[in-house]
Amino acid sequence: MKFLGTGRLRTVILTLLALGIVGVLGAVFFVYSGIYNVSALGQHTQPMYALIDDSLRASIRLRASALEPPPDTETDWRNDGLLLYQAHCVQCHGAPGVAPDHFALGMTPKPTATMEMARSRSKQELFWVIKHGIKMSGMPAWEYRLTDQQMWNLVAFIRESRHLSVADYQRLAEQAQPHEPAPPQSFDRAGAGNSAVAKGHAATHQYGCVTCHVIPGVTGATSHVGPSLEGMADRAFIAGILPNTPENMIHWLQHPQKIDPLTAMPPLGVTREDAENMTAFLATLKADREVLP
Amino acid sequence: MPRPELHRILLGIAASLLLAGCQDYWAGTSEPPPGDPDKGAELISSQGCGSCHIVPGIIGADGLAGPSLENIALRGYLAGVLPNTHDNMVQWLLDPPAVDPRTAMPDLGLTQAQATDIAAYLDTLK
Repeated sequence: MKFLGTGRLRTVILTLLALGIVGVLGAVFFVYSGIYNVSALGQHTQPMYALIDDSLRASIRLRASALEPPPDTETDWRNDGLLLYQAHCVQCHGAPGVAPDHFALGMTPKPTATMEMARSRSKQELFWVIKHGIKMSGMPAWEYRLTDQQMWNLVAFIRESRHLSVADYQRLAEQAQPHEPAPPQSFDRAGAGNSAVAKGHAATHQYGCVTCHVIPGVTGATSHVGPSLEGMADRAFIAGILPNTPENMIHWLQHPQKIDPLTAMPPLGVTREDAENMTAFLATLKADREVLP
Repeated sequence: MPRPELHRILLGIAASLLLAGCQDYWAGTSEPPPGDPDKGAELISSQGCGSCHIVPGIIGADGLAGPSLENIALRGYLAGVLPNTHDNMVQWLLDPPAVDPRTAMPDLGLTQAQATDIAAYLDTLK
């Protein structure tokens, strides 16, 4: 510290400290004053947009790079890929000569055009984004709705769409043969961890449980539409009707309205496997008080 | 940013800071519901609601047969069936099987006045 005497060093430290305090106060004001406009009628400010977009691209690149796409001969873009795209993607992303639906035009950020996705994203990146979705962007995760094979078929279609004119797309769409969806199979719940409890915990998010129930230990699960699931493990009845056994819980999660035709809880298309995992997770939600066996 | 808009935003911030902490999500009405919450609390004890439900503020009410009634005033649906209004709560308390024939909650033979008082107490749990 040859250049800085103790007096000057103190000034430097105090200045940095003051700047830090001003920064924290500024951040608190920014969050709680409501000054930042969340309206979807306009885009983020340029610095905010750049910050979010760069983080998003880096995050996807980091996670997608390890994926190994199947060879082109093992994917079906012409039929399965195209039909899946029409069923689940065209509403937001459009297609050659086809506009997105009205709701998607009102979204911010705007869903990327197919052609742009096909040109700027690798197969791995497309697959990762379809499977995992992107938080706070409107892009849903499809891991709980589609098989890996179906998602690779979609990726193949999106990549191929670079070469499709409007006429090509229309012709292929007319030729595509709808087929019965594959019977439910074992899904890869890659994002969820290995134990049944961890997978069940993740599934409470993917089946929307969190939008209606308080669930201890699940971030964002704070709504009081239905009852809190706190202490569910020790509750005697499910929905005030069924004795609380694992098999009854699985049945309830899959078919609530078969058990109580009046219930406001909707059938959410829960697979047997996911219902088993959720039941394992719910069994960990113990009541506060001692329960006699 | 044009000046008038900044002015309005600053006013809005001042207003929102003043209003912070005054939120009440329940039912959307500021009118106190009919019934006497204190009588309701006594009835909850004497009728044994606590043998099946956790009821905050009632000594010994720690049953686990039915759901906890913690925050029941914030609940969207009663028994997963009826939208949660004061009148629906009274109707439910008077005769649960009439609302949902499959429910395990029994008809406790409450009078209209008793049900109204209990509902008044439950309205305070938020």
